[in-house]
Amino acid sequence: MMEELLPFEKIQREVFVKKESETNWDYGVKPEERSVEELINYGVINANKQEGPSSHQFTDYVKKILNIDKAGHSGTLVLI
Amino acid sequence: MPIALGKATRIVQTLLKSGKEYIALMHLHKKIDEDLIKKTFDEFLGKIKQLPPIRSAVKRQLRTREIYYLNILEIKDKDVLFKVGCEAGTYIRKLIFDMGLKLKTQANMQQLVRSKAGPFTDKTWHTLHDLKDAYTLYKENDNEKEIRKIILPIEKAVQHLPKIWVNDSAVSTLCHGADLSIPGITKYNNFNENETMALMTLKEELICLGNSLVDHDYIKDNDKGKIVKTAKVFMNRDLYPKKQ
Repeated sequence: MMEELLPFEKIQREVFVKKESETNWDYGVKPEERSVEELINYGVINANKQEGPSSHQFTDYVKKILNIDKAGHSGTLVLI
Repeated sequence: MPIALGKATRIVQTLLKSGKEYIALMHLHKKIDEDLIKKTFDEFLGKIKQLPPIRSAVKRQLRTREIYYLNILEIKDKDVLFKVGCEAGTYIRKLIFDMGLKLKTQANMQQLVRSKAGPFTDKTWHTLHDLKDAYTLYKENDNEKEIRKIILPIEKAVQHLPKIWVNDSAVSTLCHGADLSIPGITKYNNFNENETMALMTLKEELICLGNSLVDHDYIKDNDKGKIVKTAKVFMNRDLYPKKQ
């Protein structure tokens, strides 16, 4: 068995410092501290889409459940 | 299947370009010796040439795709279940067909499930049912716990990309579409020239995506110069104040 890693999973990402800097907490917010409403309009879902509805239909269901106008999916399993 | 919501929608294009992993079931039209199947699978590792199928969205010409790993999970009679890690745009149905040719028989794809798309794996995926339940819990009981497990910040979709963290005063100009130069940089990952980069605030918020014009060593050795050409802005341009 080969190691099951995609190229980006093999890269060791180091962090180098160019110039230390502080951030001002009066604006912006840590991603995990965004409100749920913000996440619904600016978030991602890792969806388990198996057989059945097409990716388009599936994305439509997501929009209906969350009551939003816009959502997009990545990588339809195109069956030709 | 990653789904991006609202203003995050354009992030999906980044995921389209990232590596994928599938679990597929190949059906052979005659019984083949297991060792020969294993040997043939190994021959399809690395760079392969594929002709896109007749009904496909891209121009029909031979193109190169890379197979990163190709592991047989189970062989049962004429069926071969396998896992494949591959470059974006690899046609698995075509791969199966071509492996069939090599095995001097016909082969077709019986099933295909994607198990990784960039940083998203089948270990953390959720059904529509999970989403509906979590949303109901949130709306009716004001309980955020479950919905927060399912709807993730957009930053999760760029965790596989190399990053540069910029100081607060550079954020607004990047949001207005400017390119990134060295004076705006606080921290950086290792990266190559012409890679898709995620530019982040010091609070770990995604600002924009862009292409690197140099590699990371250039930052260490220089105090000015353009590093990233900004391509897609995600952050609201009014979130951070304009540079004084």
